[in-house]
Amino acid sequence: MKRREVLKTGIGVAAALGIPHIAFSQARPVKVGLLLPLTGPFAFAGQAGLEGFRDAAEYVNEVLGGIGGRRFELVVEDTGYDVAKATAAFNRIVSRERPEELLFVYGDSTGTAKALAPEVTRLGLPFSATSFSSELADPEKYPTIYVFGPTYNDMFEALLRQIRRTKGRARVALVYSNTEFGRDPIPYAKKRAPELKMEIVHEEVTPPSLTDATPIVLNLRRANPDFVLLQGYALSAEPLILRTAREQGLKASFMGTYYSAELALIQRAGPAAEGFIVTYHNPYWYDSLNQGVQELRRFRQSKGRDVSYRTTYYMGGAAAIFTIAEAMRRAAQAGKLNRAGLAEYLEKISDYTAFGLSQGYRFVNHRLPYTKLYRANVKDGRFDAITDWITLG
Amino acid sequence: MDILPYLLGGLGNGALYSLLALGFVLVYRATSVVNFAIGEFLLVGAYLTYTLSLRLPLSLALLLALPLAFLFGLLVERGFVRPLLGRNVVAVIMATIGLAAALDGGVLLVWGADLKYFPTGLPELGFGLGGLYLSSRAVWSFLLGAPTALFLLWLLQKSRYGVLVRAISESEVAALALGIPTRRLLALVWGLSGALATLAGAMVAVAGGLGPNLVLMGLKVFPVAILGGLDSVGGAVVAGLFLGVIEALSQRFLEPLLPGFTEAVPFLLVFLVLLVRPYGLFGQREIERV
Amino acid sequence: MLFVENLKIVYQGVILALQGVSLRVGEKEAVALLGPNGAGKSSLVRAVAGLLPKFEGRVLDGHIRFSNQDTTHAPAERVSALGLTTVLEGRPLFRHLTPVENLMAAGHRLPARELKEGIEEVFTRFPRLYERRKEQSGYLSGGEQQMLLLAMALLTRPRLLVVDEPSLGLAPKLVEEVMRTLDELRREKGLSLLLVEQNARAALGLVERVYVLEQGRVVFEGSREEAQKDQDVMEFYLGKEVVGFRQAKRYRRRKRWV
Repeated sequence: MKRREVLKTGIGVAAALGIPHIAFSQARPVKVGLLLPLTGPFAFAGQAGLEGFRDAAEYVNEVLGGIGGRRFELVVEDTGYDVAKATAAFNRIVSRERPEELLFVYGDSTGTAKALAPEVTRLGLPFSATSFSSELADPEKYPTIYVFGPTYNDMFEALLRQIRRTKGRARVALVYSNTEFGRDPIPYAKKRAPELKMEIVHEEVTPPSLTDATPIVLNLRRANPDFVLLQGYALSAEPLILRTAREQGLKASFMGTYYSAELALIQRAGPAAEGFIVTYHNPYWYDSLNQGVQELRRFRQSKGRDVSYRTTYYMGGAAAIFTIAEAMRRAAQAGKLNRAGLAEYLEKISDYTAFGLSQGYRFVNHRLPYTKLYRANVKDGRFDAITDWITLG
Repeated sequence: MDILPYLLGGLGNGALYSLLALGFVLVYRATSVVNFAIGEFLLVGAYLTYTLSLRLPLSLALLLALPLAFLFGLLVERGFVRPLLGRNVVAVIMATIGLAAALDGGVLLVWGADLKYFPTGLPELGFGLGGLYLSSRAVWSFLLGAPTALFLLWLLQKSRYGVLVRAISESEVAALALGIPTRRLLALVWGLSGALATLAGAMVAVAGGLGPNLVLMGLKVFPVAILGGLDSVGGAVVAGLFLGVIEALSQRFLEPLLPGFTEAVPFLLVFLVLLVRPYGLFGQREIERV
Repeated sequence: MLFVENLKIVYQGVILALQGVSLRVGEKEAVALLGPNGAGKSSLVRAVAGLLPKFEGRVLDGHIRFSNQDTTHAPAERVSALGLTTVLEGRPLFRHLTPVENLMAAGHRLPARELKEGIEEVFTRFPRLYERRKEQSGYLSGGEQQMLLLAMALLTRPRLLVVDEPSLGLAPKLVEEVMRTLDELRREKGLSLLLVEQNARAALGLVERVYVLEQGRVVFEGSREEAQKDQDVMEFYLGKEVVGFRQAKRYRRRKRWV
């Protein structure tokens, strides 16, 4: 008798707790696979980004009611920023999930994205990555791959133009990591520099994270550049390089791309960060007038979560999820909520701005060639915009 | 002349490699155990120092971290090495590999994956002389590293404790027959190893930030130790400095030609040296009676 | 002082090395343990020293009592602390260490001054060791190494000295010298001695009593005089009975104790 009572109570409780799920679970969920570097040299970015992905996904379900009555879910795997691990994780997800449910996969790196690109294309699976590699922005070769921002080539173009505006016949040094991420825009930079009448006086390749920047800065001092471009780090080396450069009295202006645009760089490099110029194409958490920022703040507050500063990686992740969800919503409305339909509606989503978290999704060759330039302001502890939106393609 | 800053910086790094390698070689020499977890000793020690530095001034944090690291070394010996006593030494080596993995995960669990920076640095001791520049970190590495290395050399070569450790490492059975408390003495060696790794790790972390990737520095131990002769303490010191200098020179001359090559240099160096001197630069030849 | 009762020793769980051996060594007594290769002499030595586990051996049955304490399973450290010092076979020196360092290791329990005095005493008694005190011990001659080992043993301030085959590999003249030194030291310091040897002739000169071990069992126990008179001991260990070659092939006097 007693066991039956317990059983009945148990079922009742489960049902009560499950009621919100019942509303969704009548239809299959839609899933986005996330392959993120939760450990390894870029773990900081991966973990911060994951928070953004998760908040946005919850927002989509709770505030926006899911996707046409279907629950929006994330499937997360750690890659350790290792292509082999990421590929294994990808295979796991793809074989485990149903094709009607897993409609999008988000990868972790340039290396992974390039490795998975053929398979992703074969599966017709819409794909993006935390990589802004120009090789991925190729609608003919990879019709389902999208770069949710400017490519590294675009970012370098913006920086090189800025150099030209600042100084004619400038001496430029390139310091980059020996990853696909680091190497991606270098050929473009080397081709473009002479066209813009500037000289590449030094090239330095490093591991993605450093314990000592002294020899690098010593080499730079010998090359005597006016500008140094950093590529292929996500705060894993820039603060150290900047501080060592300042210690050794290297008088050059440093610049970086999207993944160096995070506020933590100023905290970690201290006064050495002053004047560091970056490309960045989302808002900062402290841009309180931005609608997307306000929405996210309000949402977190309603959940009792910390509303202090969220990183750029968080912002990028949230923007991506909102966009994917919106494309899914539109596809669902047209009755085409599947991989092909999602790809179709991603192509056409040009008017959407993810609550202002992006400038818009007018893809040009599957990328968004728009960015702003920001300069580090150590006194105020923030990055200030020094340009409006620059169009690069 | 412009080589000099590279050399000095290289020596500074080399001093840290020496410290780390000393801890490794001590353990190997005394117990024939290859401690694959040496990188993790470095990591845990650096993180310990970091956590302490959040509450205490840096010098106090470091002073407190060293005995804690010593205790940690003792714990490892008691928990991982002693239970495998009498078994094949390979079993103990496997245990250290497992320990390394466990510590990697443990560190991630406790401190998270992001890079941490110390609230304050060591007092600035860097200076420039004309066009030369010697970084603060290099100066500190010498200041702390040199006396430590000398102390350890004295300890091992001249002190009574050192004689006993060398005796035990020569023949544990003979030592036991004389009633020498081998286990206790060897535990102290493990403790020393932990403290040395912590010193090296803290030096690196204070200057450049602390992250799980710090464990990669532990990899450098192997080329240094092998280069110096796996059982030579003096060799470890020389080899560490040597490697630091070679790396710096490679960064200066080879890097522009072959980007990324410097990472491979330590291992290439070991390969070349072993071709000529199979026992390493200072390794002991076996004494055999024929 | 040392009582071994019915000791059974097994290696690796299956190889029985001693099958119930009993012996005793009294205060200030010198006792020889003789026997051929494989008799189990070294096993006994290891058991008494507390070193069996290091050789994958175990006491299966029986007792060892030293200085009124049960040391059957005691670790080597404790046995040594009680005053039993073992000089193992094969001249177990620390070969890469110098004689001085070897002595320092042996005298690890001594306070600094006593150690210094002790080392000086050693060098006074063994001038040859003094001459080569800074060389690595592995390069000393066999005789010098054995002397060093005896000196090291003394620095542990033992009450009972167990020496395993000190004559092994030494020329007869050296054997004589080593035995003489051992005898002198023993009398000087008033030690008990358990001398384990294959070379019975050399050993008999030092001791008062004799045991003979064969295949894990004691086959003879008696005073020195009794051993020298015993026909079997004489023939098999002292080579007194010379049987012509032709006769040896056809007839051997049967051992009485099988």
